[in-house]
Amino acid sequence: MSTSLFDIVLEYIDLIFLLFSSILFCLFVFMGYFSTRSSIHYKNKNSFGDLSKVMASPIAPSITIIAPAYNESLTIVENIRSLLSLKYVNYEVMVVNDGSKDDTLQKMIEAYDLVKIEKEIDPNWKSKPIRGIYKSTQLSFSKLTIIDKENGGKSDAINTGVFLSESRYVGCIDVDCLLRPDALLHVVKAFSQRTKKRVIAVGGVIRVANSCKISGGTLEEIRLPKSWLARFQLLEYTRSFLIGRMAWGRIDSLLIISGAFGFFDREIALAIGGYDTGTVGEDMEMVFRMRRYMHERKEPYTIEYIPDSLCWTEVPEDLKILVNQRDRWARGNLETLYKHKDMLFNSRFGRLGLISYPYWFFYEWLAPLLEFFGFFTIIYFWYLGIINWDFFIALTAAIYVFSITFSFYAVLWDVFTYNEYKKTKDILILLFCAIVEPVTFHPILVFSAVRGNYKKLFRVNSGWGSQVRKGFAKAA
Amino acid sequence: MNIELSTYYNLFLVSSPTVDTSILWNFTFLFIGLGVLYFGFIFFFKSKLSKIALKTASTRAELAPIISNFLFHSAQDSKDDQKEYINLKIEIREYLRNKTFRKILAEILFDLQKDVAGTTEERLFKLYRELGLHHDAFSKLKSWRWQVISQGILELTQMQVGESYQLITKFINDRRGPIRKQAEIATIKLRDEGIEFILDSTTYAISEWQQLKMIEALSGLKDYSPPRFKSWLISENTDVVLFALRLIKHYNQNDAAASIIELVKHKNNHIKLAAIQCIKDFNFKEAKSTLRAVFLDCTDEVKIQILSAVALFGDASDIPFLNGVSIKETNFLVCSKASGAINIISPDTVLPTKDIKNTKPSDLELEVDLEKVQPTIIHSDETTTVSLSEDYLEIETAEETDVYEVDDSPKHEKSIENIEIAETIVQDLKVERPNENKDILPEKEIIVQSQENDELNTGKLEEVFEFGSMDQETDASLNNELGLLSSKDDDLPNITSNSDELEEEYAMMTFEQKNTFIDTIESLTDVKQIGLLEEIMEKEDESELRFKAFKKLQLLKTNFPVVKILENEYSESNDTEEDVTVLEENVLESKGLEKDIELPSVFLPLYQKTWDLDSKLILIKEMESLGDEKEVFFLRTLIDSNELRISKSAKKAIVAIENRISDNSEYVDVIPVLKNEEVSMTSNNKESALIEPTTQLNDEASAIIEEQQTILNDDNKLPLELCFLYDEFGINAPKNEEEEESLFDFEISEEFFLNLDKKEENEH
Repeated sequence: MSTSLFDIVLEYIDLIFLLFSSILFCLFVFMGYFSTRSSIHYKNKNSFGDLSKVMASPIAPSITIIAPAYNESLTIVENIRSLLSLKYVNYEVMVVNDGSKDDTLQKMIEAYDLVKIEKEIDPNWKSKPIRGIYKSTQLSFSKLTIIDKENGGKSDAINTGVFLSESRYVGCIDVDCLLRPDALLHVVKAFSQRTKKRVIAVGGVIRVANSCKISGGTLEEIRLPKSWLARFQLLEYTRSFLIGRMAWGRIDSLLIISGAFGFFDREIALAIGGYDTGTVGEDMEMVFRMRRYMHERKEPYTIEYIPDSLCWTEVPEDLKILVNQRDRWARGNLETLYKHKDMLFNSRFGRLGLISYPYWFFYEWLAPLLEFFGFFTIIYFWYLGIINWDFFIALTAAIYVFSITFSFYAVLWDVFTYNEYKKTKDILILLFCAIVEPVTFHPILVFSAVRGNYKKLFRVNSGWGSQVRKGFAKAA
Repeated sequence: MNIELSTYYNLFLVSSPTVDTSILWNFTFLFIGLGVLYFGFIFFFKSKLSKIALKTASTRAELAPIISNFLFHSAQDSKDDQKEYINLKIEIREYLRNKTFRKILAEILFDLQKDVAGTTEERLFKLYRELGLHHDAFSKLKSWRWQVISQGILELTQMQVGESYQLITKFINDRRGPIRKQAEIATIKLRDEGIEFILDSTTYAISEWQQLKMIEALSGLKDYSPPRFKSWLISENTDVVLFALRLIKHYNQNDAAASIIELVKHKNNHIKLAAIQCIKDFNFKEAKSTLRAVFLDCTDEVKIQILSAVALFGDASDIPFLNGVSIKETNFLVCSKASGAINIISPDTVLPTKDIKNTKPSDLELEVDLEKVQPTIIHSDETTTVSLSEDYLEIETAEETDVYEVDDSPKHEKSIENIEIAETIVQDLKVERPNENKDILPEKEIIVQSQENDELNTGKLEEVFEFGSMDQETDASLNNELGLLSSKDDDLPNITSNSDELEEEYAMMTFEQKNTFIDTIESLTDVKQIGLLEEIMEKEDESELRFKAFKKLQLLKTNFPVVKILENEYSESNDTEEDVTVLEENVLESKGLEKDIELPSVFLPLYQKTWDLDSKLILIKEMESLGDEKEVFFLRTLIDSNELRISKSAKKAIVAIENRISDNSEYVDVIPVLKNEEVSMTSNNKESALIEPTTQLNDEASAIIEEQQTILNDDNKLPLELCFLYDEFGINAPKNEEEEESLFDFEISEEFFLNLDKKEENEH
């Protein structure tokens, strides 16, 4: 390659990157703006009335919480107890034992006096065979249903739950998640407060429960995680849920509802066939299909997002488990985007095709890859001696400081709205995390994303991986 | 600083826009500045929030005793207290000039309002006004910000500022949702007629959540008498119709059958579902045809609800429809629901088909399997002494017919196979039965309707055989299966043993306890109690208790005619709870009476289990607010209670229920009877003549009337079903007490004779 041609290529790459970065900056600024407006509006709107007054209403809509469990023997009893103590009149807890190899089922049977019941099941329903349905003999656990089935993965387990449920709404949560007692009231309110649009799904903020004081399935004291890895994730979750998703929710373009806390209109969920069992990014894929379904039917709809801290979960404190988790997320992202590739810049899908999908494609899927290859390119260019170091340093500094500022803004907004971490020391630690995160935690995420993409593109066999739960009981 | 103009050296052809490095540094400094600013804000907000919380807490602590003094001050207080009160008033007036102080004071009062009730709450409302805090709330209504207006409405509602009602109702159709919703809640809470105003005037949609909140607000109103919500079922606002349906269901207003049934045809699925729910709750049997008519056009969710309604009050005539649904519907849940409904209406009609082996049992196995298959084919008729009623058997026959009608279905083929097997068994048994057993077992004839194996749809074979000739083992198993077919003299009902337990318990009681125990038997849902009362009448030493038991039994027999029948029947029947239920149903059905009217109130078991007076009074109060015809029946039994308060409350409750359901024309005729405690049927026809009913009525009516006459008690009260019957035939009850003594004097309406004429004409 002649030098002149090489320079031309560089110029073009330069142009593309400049455009890419400018859009990203603008998007982040807009996100900050929309999330701020959305949060203020939400706070004002919900400052009146008392949710608990309607918790026992005789016409409250029914809701089923579906929690798939696989080898959760350590924490299952405690977690179910927590789910059974929610403040709502018309709900059911359905735990789907997805062919656990440990004594998860036995522990549940013993703890809740379960007996097998008979229920007619559609022979045409496609899921792994159901071995049994259990109900408690005790009235106090009448809200509990246990489904025991052969192992088929998380999606298959949730699909079975959605199918067997008879409620109007179904919630898919991780069984180790801790829900705030009034969580279902918030969810039902989000589902039923609209009049012009049908709310097809409701998502919410996921908070980090590591090191928090938990007793009897109730969150007693909120504490900052002791592990640095968990602290970085806490900052990341704050930024993502309080700024990112809040902003997308504001413009009704939310494309992902976390599998740890997602609620769906059961009729629509069944109409689209439930979760796709062939992907590891089933939560995102489901939202894509639900949106597509409603678009095609031309029915007015929306997806609601609740910024209240309703769901608390344990995040990985082990580096290997974290990398596996993010690897899986990256694969799920790629699978979903590929499956719905016809949406890209497709005006037929409105904002979904013109804003949301392109964002996910360029900034959630492509950006880590560009970062990864950019890193090696810098090294190569340095080797070639063509880097303008002054410009490079100025650009890097601008981006670095911008990312810190953005994280600071997320922390500020968390303090202003929910103020979960009241100790000054905790806030200072979080701010410190924001300063060091771009050079410590972020490269790990980039590496995980590249690994996930590599596995997917080169068809390296990978599943869900495993996550060892410490268990809330122990954490306390 | 050396500033470069581009990222790279040696630019050719198309160049990227040159970015000045200094601009990047400027951006960097800007972001650093923003970061520092945010850092500062974080701690600023944090400390500000803490300070506000601290200040509010200290002010509250300071104001709490002052407010307490204001709230609990009275003119009878000592002079020192009076002085202190006046000083505090002067002091607080000074403070009230401060806006922040007023805000905190109002917040304290709002918080306090949640914890107080009664007189204190009223004083709190008064204090709020006296301090002039409501003016602040009024001024908030003039704000342009929706959250301020909403806050103002909330405050005025919470402090029950009645004069704000007119102002707030103006916001009912405000374009801003939060204001509108707050105004709706306020309108309901401020005045009882608020809900009517909302339903009449709202033009916006009412979200489901808002409906929940409004119902909750209505539930919180004291001594609230809801309007008849059926008036809004014709509203043009779909959400108003839906809300009205929910309110109707919530307040059990069952006087809008026609409108509700019509709404099943509505385009909106939510309205359809709500209407079906009402139909189910109020047992509107007349909705069946409409439900079946709209079925095909409904979504699966609605179809399932329709099927559950049909299952609830369907009969044999619905089984072909349900069979059709179970065959034609593609959705599994709908099919399953239809099959379930069939089995609810007629148990064991649809049998399991999955994983059932197609086997033909050997002769030996047939005898063992007999008990499992016999009920499929064995029928009886009126001529047998078996306790099954004619109506019950008709249903069985109808089911069988339906089974044959859809013989292309695999599951029905299975049923036919079962019948074939059963028939073979019966034939075999007839051949093998030893004659010598005949005199051991009582002679009973059962007509077995069966069909030739090769002519399922055409040939019907009637075989008569005697159970007495069957071997005892088979007979015992058959009896166990059929239950009611038992005729052995020593097959006394289980009631005896249960009664024994009750008797033992009774025997252990003291005189006072016995007295109380008899009092608590206010109604009879359990035949055990009949036996016990009779035992008391026969064996009790104390004449007072014997007399009391006698009176109680007489009273209860009058009010619950079923008891009379049960009393006659149970000596012949195997006693199980099912038997009693079947008997009750048969008796009621044979009289052509509505089961839902005759069956005891749901409050009955609760009342029976209640021993203390206060709880009983609370239950009666609940009946007063929730009850319908069933409760009136039950309440009648309480009027004669020894306890004056119960008697009074029961009378009051009857009147209240009467007023509430006065729109029901059928019931209007009955209520005055209850109120005056005498039988007086009114006819629409004033020009009717007196005749002897036994000579004029047809045989069926005469037979029923004769049966009813035996139920009459010493007080000459007519059972309610008789009143219905008389009403049906257009017979007027005696007008005065003299006529009442002669129960056979009735007025026959002109309509009755016209009907007779028509019948005669038709016959000719």
